[in-house]
This record gives sequence, structure tokens and C-alpha cells, in this order.
Amino acid sequence: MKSLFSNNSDINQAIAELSLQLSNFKADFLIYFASSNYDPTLLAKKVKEFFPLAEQIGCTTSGEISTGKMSDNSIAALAFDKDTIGDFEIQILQDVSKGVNVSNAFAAFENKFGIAMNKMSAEEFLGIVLVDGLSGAEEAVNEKIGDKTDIAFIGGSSGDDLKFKKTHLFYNGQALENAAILALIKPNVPFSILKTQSFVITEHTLVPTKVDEAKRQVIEFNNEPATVAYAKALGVNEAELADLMFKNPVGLIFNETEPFVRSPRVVEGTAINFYCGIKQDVPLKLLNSGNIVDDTALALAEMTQKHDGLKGIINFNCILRTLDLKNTNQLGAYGQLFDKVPTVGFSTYGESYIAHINQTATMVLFGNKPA
Amino acid sequence: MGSMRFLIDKLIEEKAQGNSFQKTNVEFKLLVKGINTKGITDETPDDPEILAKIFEVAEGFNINLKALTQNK
Repeated sequence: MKSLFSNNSDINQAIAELSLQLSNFKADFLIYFASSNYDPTLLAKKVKEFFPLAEQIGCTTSGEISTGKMSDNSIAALAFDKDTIGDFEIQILQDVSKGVNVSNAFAAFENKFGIAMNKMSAEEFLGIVLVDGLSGAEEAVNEKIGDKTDIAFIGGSSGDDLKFKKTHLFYNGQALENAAILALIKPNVPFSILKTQSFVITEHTLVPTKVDEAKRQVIEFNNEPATVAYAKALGVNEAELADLMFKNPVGLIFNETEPFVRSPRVVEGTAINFYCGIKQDVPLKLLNSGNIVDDTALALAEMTQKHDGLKGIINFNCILRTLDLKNTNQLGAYGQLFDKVPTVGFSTYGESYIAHINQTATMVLFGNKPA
Repeated sequence: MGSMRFLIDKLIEEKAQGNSFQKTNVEFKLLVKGINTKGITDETPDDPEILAKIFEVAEGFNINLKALTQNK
């Protein structure tokens, strides 16, 4: 596994730099994340030209993550050889905003590996999912995947450097819009999934009693206007709410201890729009933010110990975490957490792990082959 | 006494196939789909909307819940 990085603003020179870093490493699979400030069509074409033998997936971002650093206006990549990645199959879902059907993709996976998707072992197989971050289709993509398989599909939603205009996915020389990429991988090394967020669950419950699911909007919490109930739970005036929601999102709590974060995006009248879908009548808990660097370091240390060292990391890190890190001058410290392991990742418009979630990092961690 | 708890348990059992890790996963998938399994007991009266949702989820999982529970 080899990580590659360039912040050269010229596409040809940037990819030439990546190519030089790859040296004689034989890459079978390449995953890359790039700033939306590069021309996406040209970038996808050039990456395929420079790395013709590697199957490749990726997307545009709102910031890149590479070994030891967080960056903007750059390209970060991770190249895999057969020793690590084993076998894999990539499938594309088109027009995801109009509806999601994974049947053909899953049939192709079953054909490739000769096992029904609902019989594949989550210990042997790993899924990666990238979704157009402006498609609004992440909930449907994750749910349809989860309906048909027990394999964990980890991933994130493409970004566009906070312009919220257009994002792209990359697949073998093409730049795609309104799509999702599913990659099913059978790694040759042990791997783990890490989902980490830095929040403490409070005792305050907010039940969405009136929602507009299509708009990801909560109209009422606890049978009161959403802003009234949210402000009451936070113990602040409604006028202060917009500034405080970022540090105090809500969480769908599983098994009493595990929050799946749903982040408020904007106040609209007395309603609150979220970055992910909210289901009516399913209780949420108010969360208090903690320290991202400390919590992530702890989670990574546990995984490093579990695997007796890590061989590579793919990190799907929420843009809201990145903004928090920037606001608290911890961006460098966060990047440093990944300085000893080949790493690729990006700041996402949402993370995928069973569901579409926010203010979380979902990671794939590759361990070393047992001796 | 309602039937929702029984149907949920049957759905989880069938989807998880005895795998305790997957049982947890299925419970979470139901929560994400709007079925709060922890809040539903044998004593919870049937709610037509939730019942419909349970059967819809079962269909998505390719599980014929009606056939599995017809002798209840």
C-alpha cells in the first residue's frame, strides 16, 4: 500500500508527481480524493492515462487527508497491490436522486465472487461507497445496501470545497454526477471498521413529532416548534440556537451508548433543516461536543493495538469536524494522528456506515498479515 | 396485547440467522428506518402505520414475514 500526494495546481504536473511517488509499486487499485478546484473531467482522464493498469475510484472533496496531514486544493491517493486488496469489483449506480436500485450492482458482485450477497461474510468482505454529496440520495443508498447484505459498506459523500454547487465521483477515467460508486473488496489482510465521533450524550430527549423527510426537515420536536424545543433542551434563547447547534447536534442512540449523529444545518422559520434524514417519532438525544483529536487518537490507538500495527487507513471525515478542527487550531494535530500509516481520506458532506451520518469519521483500517 | 414485538423479533431472527453481531446490526437498521424496537413491547397496542412499516422492511429484506408468522 502506498500513499500519494500533490498540491500542485496544474493537473498534469500534479499527476506526474503522484506517478513519481508511486515509483515501481504495482498498483491494482487506486482510490483518490481531489479538490473540486481541479477540472474534474480532465483530472479523471489524466489519472487514468497515468495509471492505466489500476482500477480507480474517487471523488471531489472539501479538503483532503493524506499521510500526516490535512490539506486543501490538493490530490491525495492510496494505491493498493494484490498483496493487500486481493480481489475486488466496482459498480456504479446512476441517477441516484431519482431512486436507488442495487440489484444489478449486487448481481455483478455475486457473479464476480460466486456467493450470494446475503451469504457473504462481513469478516471476509468489505464495501466502500461513495455518493454524490449533493444528490440527497445517501439515505436510500445506505438503506438499499443494508437491506440486501450484512457486509459493511463504509464511505462518504463527495464535496465541492463548500461551494454546494456540483460534486463529482471518479471512476476509471470518468467524472460522474448524481451517482454512487460501490466497491466490493476481498482484502488479503485483516481489516476493521472504525466509526468515531466526539460527543457526550446528554439526558435531553428530542422526539421529532412532525417532519418533512424529503426536505430532511424537522418541523416539531416534542410537539412544539422545532426551534422552541431545541432551544429549551439547550437552555438558551431561540435567537442563540443557530450559533450553538453546530456544537450540540442530536444523535440517534443505539444500545444506549452509541450515537449516530444527525447535524442541524439551518434554521428555517421555526423548523430546522438537517444534513441527513430524520425519522418521525424516533427519539433523539441532544449531544455535547468533545475534543476530536483526543477522541480520535484514543480510537486509533485501540485499533492499532488490536492489529498489532496498521498497514493503511481510508478516512471519511465529516467537513463539520474539519471546520471544528480549523476553528480550534487543531487541524495539524489531527493530520499528525495519521503520520505513521499510509493514509488517504477527505472531508465529506456526510459519512456512510449502515446509515447516512454526520459529524463523524468512518474509517477502514488495514492490518498486517499474520506472520 | 399487540403483535408488533413478535413480528419485530421474528424479522430480526430471520435476517440475523443466529449471528449475534448481525442481530445488533439489524436492530440498528430498523431504527434507521423509523422502527424504534426498544420502545415496542408485547403490551404495545398495534399501530397500523408501524405494522405497515414492519412488513415493508421485511419485503425489502426479502423476508416473507406473513408466511413466517401465519401460525401466530
